Amino acid sequence: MKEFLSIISKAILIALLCSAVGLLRNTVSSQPLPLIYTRPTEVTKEGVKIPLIDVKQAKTYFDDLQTTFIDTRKEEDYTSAHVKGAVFLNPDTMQDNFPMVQPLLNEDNKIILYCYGPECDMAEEVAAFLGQLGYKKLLIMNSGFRAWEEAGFPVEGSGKDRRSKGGEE
Amino acid sequence: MKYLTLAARLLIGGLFIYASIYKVWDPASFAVSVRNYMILPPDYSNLAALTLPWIELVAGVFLILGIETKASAFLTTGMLAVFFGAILYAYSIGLDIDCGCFSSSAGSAGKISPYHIARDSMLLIISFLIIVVDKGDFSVLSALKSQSA
Repeated sequence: MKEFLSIISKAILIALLCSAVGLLRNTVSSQPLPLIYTRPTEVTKEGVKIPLIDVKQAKTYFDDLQTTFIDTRKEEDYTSAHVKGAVFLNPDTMQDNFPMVQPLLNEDNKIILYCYGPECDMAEEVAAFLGQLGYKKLLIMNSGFRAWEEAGFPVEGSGKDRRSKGGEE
Repeated sequence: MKYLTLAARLLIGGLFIYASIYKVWDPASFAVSVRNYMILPPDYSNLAALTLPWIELVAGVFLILGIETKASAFLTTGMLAVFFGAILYAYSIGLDIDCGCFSSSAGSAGKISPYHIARDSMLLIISFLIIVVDKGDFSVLSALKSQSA
């Protein structure tokens, strides 16, 4: 028991010293991270500033019908399931596919883009592309389709493995 | 047995050093991986990303050199247990995320699979066995002491 306590106390000491080194290194870093993370409220990509919204805000816009959702994920994932009414436009094919999508995008309406989740930057890439084309009311649903689906908000698609609780079937 | 213990130390130590290098180098990307797991409150993701990789690195180096082997193995076992739990949780709820295991690349399409679970459980067992069976053989410190004596 005594040996076990000694192992634990040494392990804690090593962990504390290493943590101190990590924090010290951060303070002298050219781009130090804030110790407490705060969610960004907007992102800037290629000079285009795009506000970030969560799924609840996105849902309120979804309900007012003056909004177009753009799914920026891989095509097979879009086909399997997407936000109800969302159009598909992803970074790999946006140059070629934009003329087909353009009639569906009204410049006066809000355009909400989403990807899988916050780790994915494909929505930002498409938003930057649209921003450069002159679209102004761009928003990114930062928590992505995963959060939308988990919230049980309306989805549609051909997938059989959808986990939406309250989505359209 | 002592050679097996040494092999286990080299394996776990080497893996921890390898896994920590990217994270030490790029804590911001690792912080994104931490947030993706959605286990830790996002507020603390940066703190974890700044400190954990250094613990991984030093524990790995200590394991290889035989410095405070049991304490280092305790740390690697604890971390592997946490990672194992995180991977299991992420897999169970079907998160399609980079596991963040051996790189900080948050944009990769690496999906957690049963392979990751099997691999982590094996590593967890090996790391735990080091705590139990290590007798202080092949330690750089004791080698230096015996040389100077």
